[in-house]
Amino acid sequence: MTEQVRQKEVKMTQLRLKSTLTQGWDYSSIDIRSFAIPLRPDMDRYARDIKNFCKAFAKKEEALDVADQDMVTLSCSSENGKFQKEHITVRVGLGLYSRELESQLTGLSVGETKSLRVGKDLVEVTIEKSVREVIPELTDELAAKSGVPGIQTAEDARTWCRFKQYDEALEEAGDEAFAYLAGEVIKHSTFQLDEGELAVSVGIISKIMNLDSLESLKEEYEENNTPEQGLHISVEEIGKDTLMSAAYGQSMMQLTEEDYEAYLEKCATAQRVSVEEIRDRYPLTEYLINTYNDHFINTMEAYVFRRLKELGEAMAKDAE
Amino acid sequence: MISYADYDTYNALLNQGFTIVDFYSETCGPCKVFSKILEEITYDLPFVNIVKVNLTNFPKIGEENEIDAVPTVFFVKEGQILERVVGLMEQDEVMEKISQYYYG
Repeated sequence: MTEQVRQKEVKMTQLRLKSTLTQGWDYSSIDIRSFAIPLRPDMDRYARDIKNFCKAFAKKEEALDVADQDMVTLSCSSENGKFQKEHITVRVGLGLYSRELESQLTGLSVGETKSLRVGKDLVEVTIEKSVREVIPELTDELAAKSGVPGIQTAEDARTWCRFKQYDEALEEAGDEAFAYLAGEVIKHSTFQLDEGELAVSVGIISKIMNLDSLESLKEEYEENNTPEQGLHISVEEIGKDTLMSAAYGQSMMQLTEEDYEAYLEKCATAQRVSVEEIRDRYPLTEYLINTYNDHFINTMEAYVFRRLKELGEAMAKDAE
Repeated sequence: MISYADYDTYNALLNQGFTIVDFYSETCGPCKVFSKILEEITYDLPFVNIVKVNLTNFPKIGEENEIDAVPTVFFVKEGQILERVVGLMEQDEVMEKISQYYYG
């Protein structure tokens, strides 16, 4: 066997935890209907999302006068010194500097100096520059250029905007549904857990949380929930659940040595150290637990949001 | 404008006028929510500098700045930390801080 082939075989070697899922509960069999909410599109919001989608392709042009939403550079002064600024930039209409002053800028010309009444103050304002965004119409060409996965046409972009609105409406319901689903899956599945890997998992959780966070987390759980809901109140319990989720995630995907090496390379580049130095910071077992656990979470989340959208659209249709 | 700080660039990035510093970690859910808020803000207000510090990759920056929880946000002007806020902020709250510190 040549050295190259041997090295390629080593890199493709699957990496597995010693902990395993012995019997997995099918998450799609768990009913999450009680978390669904009817999803009706807000048409004003939909129009704004379409505009925001196209904003990424807006061209900025220097304008000769000031209009709403322009980025205006100005200087101003007043006798009492309350409005004393040089070369500041405001987005007209946001009102971050002075709503009353900004509302009077519309229509002024670049280079113009004007006295404006702002409350009891007389403010002398000079417009130095005005930059305007020209937002294009949504077309198939623009949609294809967006780089958003799955969007090739204007119709794809419209569907994406419709679902984006649902994403935000579903955020809270989705979090609760996910917590319920993930909890049920782990509760009804059986595992063989390795003691050494359990210690590593608890160590990961300890690193993420400090004692203050754990105490406040305990208080929140005890205030809002009952023990029957089986919520975690110790680092050891969270560590055990994390390892079980990782073992479940391991049944859904395979990591290889190549994946681990690529991850170390990415971290080493970001932190500007060598891969050898980074290896101690990201040991293999921690990497496997974190990555398999992430895969379990991402799969559950994607399923929950997809299912809640289906249920929500059906509920909205039934209500019509 | 959004910049990503590392050990070499952190101090210099804080000395560029008005800056919002966002300390986050890769495992933090609220940090992802706050990231979206900052993206909206940087679009509307491109003159506000945003510096993001990934504490998963650069933990020492967090230690040196005594960061206990994420997200933590600094509002900085000309290198001076005017306020530090721990926890997720709503977009309106961030805009109020910008109004107070950038224009104040």
